[in-house]
Amino acid sequence: MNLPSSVMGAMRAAGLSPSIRGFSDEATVAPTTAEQAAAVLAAAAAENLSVGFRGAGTRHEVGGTRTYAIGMLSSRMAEVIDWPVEDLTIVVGSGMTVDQLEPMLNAKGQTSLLPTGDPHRTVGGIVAEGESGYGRLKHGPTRDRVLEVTLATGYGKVVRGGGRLVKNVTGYDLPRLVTGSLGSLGFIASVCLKLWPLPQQRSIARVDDAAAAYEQLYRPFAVVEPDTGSYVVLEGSGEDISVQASSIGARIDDGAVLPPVIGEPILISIRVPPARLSEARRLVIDRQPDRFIAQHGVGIIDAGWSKLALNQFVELRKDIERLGGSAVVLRSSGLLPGVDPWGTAPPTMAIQRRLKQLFDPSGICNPGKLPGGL
Amino acid sequence: MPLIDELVALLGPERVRHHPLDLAVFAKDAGVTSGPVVAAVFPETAAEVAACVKLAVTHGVPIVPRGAGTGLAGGAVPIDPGLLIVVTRMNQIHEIDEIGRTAWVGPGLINLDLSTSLASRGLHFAPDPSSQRASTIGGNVGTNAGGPHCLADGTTVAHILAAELVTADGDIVIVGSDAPDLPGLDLRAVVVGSEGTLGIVTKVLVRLMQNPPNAATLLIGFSTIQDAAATVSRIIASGSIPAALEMMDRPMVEAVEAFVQAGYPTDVAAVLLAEVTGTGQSVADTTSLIESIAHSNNAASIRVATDSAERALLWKGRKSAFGAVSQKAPDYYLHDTVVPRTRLVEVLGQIYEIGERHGVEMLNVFHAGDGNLHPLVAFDANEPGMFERVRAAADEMVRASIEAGGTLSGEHGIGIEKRDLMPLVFNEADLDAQARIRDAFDPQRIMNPGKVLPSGSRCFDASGARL
Repeated sequence: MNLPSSVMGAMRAAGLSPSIRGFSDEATVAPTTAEQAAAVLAAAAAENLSVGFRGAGTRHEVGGTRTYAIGMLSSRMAEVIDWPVEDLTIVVGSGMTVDQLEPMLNAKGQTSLLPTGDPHRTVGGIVAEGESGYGRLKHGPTRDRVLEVTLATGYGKVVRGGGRLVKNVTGYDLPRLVTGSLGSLGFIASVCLKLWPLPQQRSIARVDDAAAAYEQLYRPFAVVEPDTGSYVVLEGSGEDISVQASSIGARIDDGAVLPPVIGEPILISIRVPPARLSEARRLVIDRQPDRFIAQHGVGIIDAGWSKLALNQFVELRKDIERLGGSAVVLRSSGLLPGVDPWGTAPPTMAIQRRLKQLFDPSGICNPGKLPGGL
Repeated sequence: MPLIDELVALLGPERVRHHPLDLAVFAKDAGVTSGPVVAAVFPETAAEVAACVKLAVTHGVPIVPRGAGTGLAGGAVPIDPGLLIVVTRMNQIHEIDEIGRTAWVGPGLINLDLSTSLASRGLHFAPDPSSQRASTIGGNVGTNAGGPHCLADGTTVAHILAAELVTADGDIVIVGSDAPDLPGLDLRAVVVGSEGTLGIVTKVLVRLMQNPPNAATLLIGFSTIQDAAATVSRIIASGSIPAALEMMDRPMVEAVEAFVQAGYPTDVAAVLLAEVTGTGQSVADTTSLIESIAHSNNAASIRVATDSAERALLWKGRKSAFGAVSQKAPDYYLHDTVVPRTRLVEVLGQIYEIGERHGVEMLNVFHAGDGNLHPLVAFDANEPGMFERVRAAADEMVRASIEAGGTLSGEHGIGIEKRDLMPLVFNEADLDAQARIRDAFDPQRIMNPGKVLPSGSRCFDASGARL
């Protein structure tokens, strides 16, 4: 199928030449400005053509695998737009990858605290998914660090929400709403992130009992329990870190590194109230994952399987939902056919549907990615 | 049946106030606006709130939620004759989870009462607005309240995990979850700070923080504002964000000293109040770092308090600022702009110039660490023409902040007071997008109508129903 001439025309008018390569979409387009993205979305909306938003494509299975008429890439929006270094904020295009962003920030003694396990991931992709890095226990989720967003909406307008300020209650919180919205409201063109200064030092200590370490320590950076042992990550001066570690009878392990991202074909994100993490961990281990990483105090366990029987997964999800959590399929590589990636939809679907409808009246923006098939 | 009779049948006469004296009390918040009240009701359960909402909708009466009424922006003040749903009787702590460090509380619970009752468990609720002895958690949620300790820990939205919400349809829903990253759109994030325009919060799941094992409070005097501001920037850039970084200028310090005698130096241009919390070693490390930065920026005096009595005294000075102002003049007008931290000195200079030009008395106390300014004008409203001068000066101060890349509000909210200034910060398309958020929750615009967004925010608005 060829794209309608109105859509082709809108792309050309925006100075874009659609390409037929990449992903499984009919055509892809890589805007360089939010306005170009909005023009393409307006034309696509008029023709009811679905548009899939693409970052690095590393997590394209989140929310389920779909094909769209048009793939919109963020790859040509990868620049620093504004970086007032002393204000500890940065505005970047959504296509910037974390391996471009973090070394640049680190060189000035700063960090975005975004997850860096997969260096190819884009800022836009991480924000759209709402994923947080290991420092969430101490520094809060990614959502709390997205200060401003520029969005090309499903109705074809460029809108800006929030501001380039670390503290702001001026109007409704569009940046936090867009974070984790999986492109359902529009294409994220750029974001302003709140940065943190790098600590003097960050060290890893091995512990016997991660849950006890979480209880005893005062605001550690992370308490992580992968399948290979239990670790606490501590920040501060060298002396401070040693004092913290010895307070729980742990020793700094200079050779230790945080576990790499899980590469197994099936990747499930278990999210439970932090107080239920140990129970959830047992439920996961019962299903013999090849790898898992549990974050104490946060309530997240990422677990990977090379294969997992469908009924095993269904039972696991039931158990996790009984704990008040969810078992989200981030990747299944076709090995869990027919499984809803999200599980039981949240109780607020009526309001979510209206929000989707108001931001994307034609239902063209990443359709089907949200729970309930939105 | 008239609305009042139906409300009395629902809640009993004691919990439905409509005597003219009551209506006069509830016509105002702590700011400068007032509005017409039909009745003020005091429900005790979500079901009662939902029933009140349905009655008000049936009668076409707008609903205005209210906590303690300490807001400064008119968020709890009706524009058209409205029904005030006051949540102060819903002030229970329902459930505390010490391992998960969360608690379900009623929206009427007073902010400080929550932290006080958690003290024995070593936990606290981080947002600490100056009004915390009176303001409610529900009100804090409504405005996304801040406070000195939000520098490191973030404003209220970072501390609310979930809320039970009565919607404009009278449904009771839970937004958010005690588990992280609930699938779907994060409705919780837009409910916090929505000033009661998206529904009425009837229960709140708050995140609790560990009480710090050690703390030090530093009071540093500077002979110029510039030196104080440079110290703030250098501290932040040094790699440690203190728990709080507050600044007061000389007029404010003089007012505070006359009021509470906290021992602040009155012979300096500005004082910086810094608080450092954490492990013993990190407090010692950061304290000496701040001292050396202050010295290299020409600090005139440095006082370090580590015992709790002396720390409390230093904080008493800061926390008494607004009380101190009321000793100076019968009225004050307070703004809440935010500017990028690096523009603090420049904008403060403009604020002093504006005050001088309008002949109004200016005092400044503010959250320097996050660039949240509170220019405060003390005045006597009985003086003819004074209020107009104060408003004109305040308006200019807001514009100066925005021209420096700042915004209208850091923690007080928009309400009525700053609503019509929103176009200074957002263009038509931005405001239209925000109005869409609102319409997804409350298409009939029955919940606190006329707040936050100026009229006509929805582009192509065919209904014409907007206030």
